[in-house]
Amino acid sequence: MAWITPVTDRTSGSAMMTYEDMNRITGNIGFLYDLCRSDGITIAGSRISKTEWTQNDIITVSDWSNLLTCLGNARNAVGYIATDPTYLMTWDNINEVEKQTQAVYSIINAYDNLPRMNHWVGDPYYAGDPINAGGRYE
Amino acid sequence: MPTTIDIENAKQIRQPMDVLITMQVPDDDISLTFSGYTSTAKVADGVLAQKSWPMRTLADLQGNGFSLGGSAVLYDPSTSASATNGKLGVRGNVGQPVSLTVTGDQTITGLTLLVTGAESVTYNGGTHAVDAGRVSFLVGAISALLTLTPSAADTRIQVSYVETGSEIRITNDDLISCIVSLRSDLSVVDPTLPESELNIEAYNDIDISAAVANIPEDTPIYYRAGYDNDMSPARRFYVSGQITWADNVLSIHAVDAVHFLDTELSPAYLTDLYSDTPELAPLVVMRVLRKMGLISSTPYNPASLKKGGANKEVVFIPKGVTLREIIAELSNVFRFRDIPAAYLRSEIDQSKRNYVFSYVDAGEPRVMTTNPSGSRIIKEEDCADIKKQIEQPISKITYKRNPVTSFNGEVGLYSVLYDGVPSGSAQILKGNGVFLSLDDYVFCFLIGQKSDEIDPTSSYKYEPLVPPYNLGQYVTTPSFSNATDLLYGVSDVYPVFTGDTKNGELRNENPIYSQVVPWTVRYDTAWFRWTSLTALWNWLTSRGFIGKDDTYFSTDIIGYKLNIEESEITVSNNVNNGREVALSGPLMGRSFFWSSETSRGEEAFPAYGLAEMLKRSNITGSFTWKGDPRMQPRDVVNFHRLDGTVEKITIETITLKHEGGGTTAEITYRKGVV
Repeated sequence: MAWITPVTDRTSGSAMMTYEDMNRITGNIGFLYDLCRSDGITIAGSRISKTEWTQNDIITVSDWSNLLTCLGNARNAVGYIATDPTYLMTWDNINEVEKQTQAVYSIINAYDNLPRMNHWVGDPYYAGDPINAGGRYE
Repeated sequence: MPTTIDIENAKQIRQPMDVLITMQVPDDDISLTFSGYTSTAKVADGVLAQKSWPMRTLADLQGNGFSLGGSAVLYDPSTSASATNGKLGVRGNVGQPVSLTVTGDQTITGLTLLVTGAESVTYNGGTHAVDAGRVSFLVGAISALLTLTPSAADTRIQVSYVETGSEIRITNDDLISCIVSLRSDLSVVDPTLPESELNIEAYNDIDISAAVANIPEDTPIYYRAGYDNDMSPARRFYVSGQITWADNVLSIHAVDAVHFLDTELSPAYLTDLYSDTPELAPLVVMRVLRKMGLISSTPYNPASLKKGGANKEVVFIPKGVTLREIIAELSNVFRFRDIPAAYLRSEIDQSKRNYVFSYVDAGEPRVMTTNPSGSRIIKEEDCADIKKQIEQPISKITYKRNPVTSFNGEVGLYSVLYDGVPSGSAQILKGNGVFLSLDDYVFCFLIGQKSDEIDPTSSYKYEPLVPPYNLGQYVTTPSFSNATDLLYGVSDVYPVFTGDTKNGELRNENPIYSQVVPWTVRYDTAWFRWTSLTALWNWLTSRGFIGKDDTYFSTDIIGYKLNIEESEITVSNNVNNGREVALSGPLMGRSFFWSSETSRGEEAFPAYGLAEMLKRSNITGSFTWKGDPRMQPRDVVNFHRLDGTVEKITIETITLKHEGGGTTAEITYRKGVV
């Protein structure tokens, strides 16, 4: 499954959450898991359990718990430190989920694009830190 | 601004009217259980009987998903249903049907479901469309297997509530015929309060015979007609007789609320009068009007007249008279001004208080006045079957009088009113009025004086008259302490006295209704006036109404049934055969009820109302017209004749027929404003 650019610009509660959104979010989290594994980045846990959603689905607490766990594992794998999103179905919370997937993806992508860095994978990145290709950590 | 009905009525050929008939079928005492939904449900807790519990808003991806406003919650199977947590009800799979079995602890007459995402519900081969999230249908069985069909491929059926009871809904699609017979009675003599009817026949290809057999009498049913955006106000009728279904035809007969008035006024019915204690108007009348919703329900209880206070009332209660008869009487003789202004509902125009009021139910109860506006127009050129009738001139009215024949040739009954002054003497006026069919419904009230009326030391006492009865002798001038009291009446009446044989007193207690001894002519007739309590006591004792023991007991007094017969009165020149005549004549003294406020000599109520009745035209007629479901009996219409004249008529009856896709109205009327 390919990476799909996250949607992070929801601005109000009138935004809707569709099965396509859930496919993108869970698909991206699964993608991050696969990317870590293929890049040799150690990632804890299992791949997200459900990545194919239809209109017949109702998101359960269990589904969301698994989603947050997998997202947290992906963050930890690249040393991206951020607060866990909540269980609330609000526009800003969903934005945060997708922003975190984007951040993790950018870190891995930046790492992959460097010829060599002294930064050890696993060193902490903090939310808000610039991910600068060519940057150097000593 | 003309409405759609007005615009259509103005056309030579108008669009067919829509007819809508609805009936709620109650099933209040049945307890329901729900099963059989698991295999077709996505999520469910089966909580369908708690109407007030909200449906939990889940993070449901059906259709366009859910809003991220924060109201949707993740589905947690461990969360139990409650008023706080909400409920799941039964929620199916997107685009898939849902099955649900509803079982009652007794036969379910009908069911109503609140549901979203469903197009229809199928039960027992019949399919019932969901309308605005609600579907209702007859069942007639202990258990019902329902199949709900989704309304779209991407939506989920969600059943939130199931209740017993259903709605029968009949529209043009089902209707074979709907006949609405709306009636008033504009007769000059003895007008009644007639019942209006609704008769319906409609197609129904589902066998609902078992279900309709459970529908009780008096279940409300509503009728409306008109056009999409302009339906007439709903008329409410009540099922009368058994609804039937046979050969795919549903038949319903219903009547308006008039039949509820066919109950004799009973002591029990009147017991609460004393908590109201109206000041001037007769209590029963007030009670009836309040029951009819015509006057304020706010108790009016001036301290000076309250129960148990120093100023007790004597109330003579009618016997053998139904509310319906009373209202029929009131509808022809009672003036608004006879009701204290404080009682009148605000929407009754105070400036019309001098009008006689008329009451029509016709499924949409209204109070009319003697001068309704005649804004509606009917053109003779639009009518068929036009008939005009002239009643035989009412050259005489025959009154029955029996057995009181010793009126010295006087016609009718002397009734007495007095036009007094605040204190001191009051003059009793003699009327030479007449009664109309007294034998069926006469009664009267005596509104007691404000002092304690059965005080042995008082001068306000009864004295029986000794035959031969000569009413002339009772034109007298007794002394009263308060001139606002009204003291005289003739009727069958109930007692308000308690006798004490020990000391020979009659005591005025709160009314005791429990021992009613009907008074009939076989006993005796008597008139009383306020002179001597002792004489009354003796008279009662001599007639056996008061025993010899020394216990307290109640008894009837002044039992009187007046029957006047074989006496004639000519009320007008009577030779105008074939011409319109107006009847007139002195009509003083119909002992129906009185209000001391309005008792003023020969103009006293109810003479006014009776005189108005006799002014009614003797010309009546009928015609068939296209009909208007907003019309009401007693409406006044400007009837545009072919010769260019405009005749004001008052509609007496309307029979609206919706059948064969069209609507017609058979109308009868009386000329003039009644």
